[in-house]
Amino acid sequence: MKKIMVITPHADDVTISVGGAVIKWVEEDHEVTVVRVTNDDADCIGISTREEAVAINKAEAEEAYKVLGVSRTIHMGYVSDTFGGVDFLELREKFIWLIREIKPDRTLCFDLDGREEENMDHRVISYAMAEALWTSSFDLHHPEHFKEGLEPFCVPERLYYARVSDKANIVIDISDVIDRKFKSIQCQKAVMKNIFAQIRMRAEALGEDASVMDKYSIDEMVDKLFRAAAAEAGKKFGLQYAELLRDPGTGLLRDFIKV
Amino acid sequence: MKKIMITFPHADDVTINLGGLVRQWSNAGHEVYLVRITDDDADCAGIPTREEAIRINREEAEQAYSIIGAKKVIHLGYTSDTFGGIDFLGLREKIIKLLRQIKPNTSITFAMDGREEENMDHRITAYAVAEAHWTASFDLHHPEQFKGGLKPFCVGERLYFARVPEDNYGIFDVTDVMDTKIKAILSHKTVMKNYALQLKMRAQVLGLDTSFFNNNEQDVIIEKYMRKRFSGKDIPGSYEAIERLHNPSAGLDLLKYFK
Repeated sequence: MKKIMVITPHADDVTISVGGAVIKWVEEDHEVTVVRVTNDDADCIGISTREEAVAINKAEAEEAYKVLGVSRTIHMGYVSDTFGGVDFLELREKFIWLIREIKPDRTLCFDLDGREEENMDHRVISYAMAEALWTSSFDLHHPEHFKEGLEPFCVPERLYYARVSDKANIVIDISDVIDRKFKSIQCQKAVMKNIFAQIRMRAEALGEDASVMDKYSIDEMVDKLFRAAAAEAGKKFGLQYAELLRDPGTGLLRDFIKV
Repeated sequence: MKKIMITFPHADDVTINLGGLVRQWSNAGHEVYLVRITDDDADCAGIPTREEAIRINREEAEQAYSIIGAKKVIHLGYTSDTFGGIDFLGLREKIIKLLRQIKPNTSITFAMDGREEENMDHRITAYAVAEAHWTASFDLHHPEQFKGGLKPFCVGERLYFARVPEDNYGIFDVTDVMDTKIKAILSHKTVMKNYALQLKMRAQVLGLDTSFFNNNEQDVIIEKYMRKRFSGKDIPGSYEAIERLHNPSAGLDLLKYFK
């Protein structure tokens, strides 16, 4: 049994990008902890206050993660879409603490080399987490943690997911769990409503007639959009549906030890 | 007629990288809005005060933008070469407001993933504009702007330019307007003086022959350099002068899954 720590900047990043992988890992008896960094207080449309958005998105996220089979969810509660101005070292310190507390065999986070990444939350969280992966093993980085009984810890396996998966080297066949993945995404109704509103607005801005979306419910659009994305990911590997991850490996470590 | 908004940190960024395209778009009847973020207060050589540099660079910028046919110029007045320590969310907020005011069909800025990019003003501008592209369409992001009559706005077409264009960047023939572009670049006399000086200083440190710099007027040096830099002779099409733009959404059919 492995302990797996998945970092999701926003509630839906984990369900959309790696929901199938999480389901598979849970089925293999691994223990998955999801660290949800922001509170998604702006990821909604038509909800009048941020407080209401926070409450709705948290409740829907927990429902979604339950469908995935996640053992534990940690809500860090950062304000959404503000990471271009975040206190980076404080964020990294929180990740270090969590790594030392969870002691994961594997972590999964947004890729720090992700292309076309328009979202600073994704970029900055990936930078902070990537740096926490090794600083957590330094005994002079945040020694105050050790008074709580924690110890330096080094994460052995560090996987990444990305908006544009052109550097992926791990293919996960999610064909047998695709429906559960959609069920999980469909729990996140407020966020999904916003995603489809964004698609509609951008299509209209590009001069397209978006009325084709009118005939579908949010659940139906989730199914159509993400089924197509999973099919595209699987196509070149001969799979019906897939998710793609990147494992940068351990560099010279394995060969060096042999020498 | 399209509205095109180009956001760039320094006075010469747009003239050098896109001066030909701006002239062509303007000739075709499109409206080009230029958002110059910094005041270029340090981009000079031999001017004793920053105040004087600001005044001269602004005048020269406006002359250059008039030559390439910009419809409107917005000067945000940020201090130059300080974006590594900038209030990122403050900058993003200003860009969101401009997007909601101008409502451009196309928004252009520096590429987020630009290689060999030594200038943090360029990088941070890219991140802030890219994030403003979608946050401008959220109804909970800066709702105070709606009191003035603005509304959420989503940019359809998002294009990027870079110091080192990648192979997948589009190639645009600007041969017919290259002389005009050169004239515009040379209008930035103060910035170009600094530009030529930088080239000469680096050549000196590298131990190269600097007689070219000593034997030619500034305008000749800059013109030769720019014609060489934007020559398309060595790429398919063999154009005399080109500019490069990246369109990650080229062929993007957001609605294909719902049709």
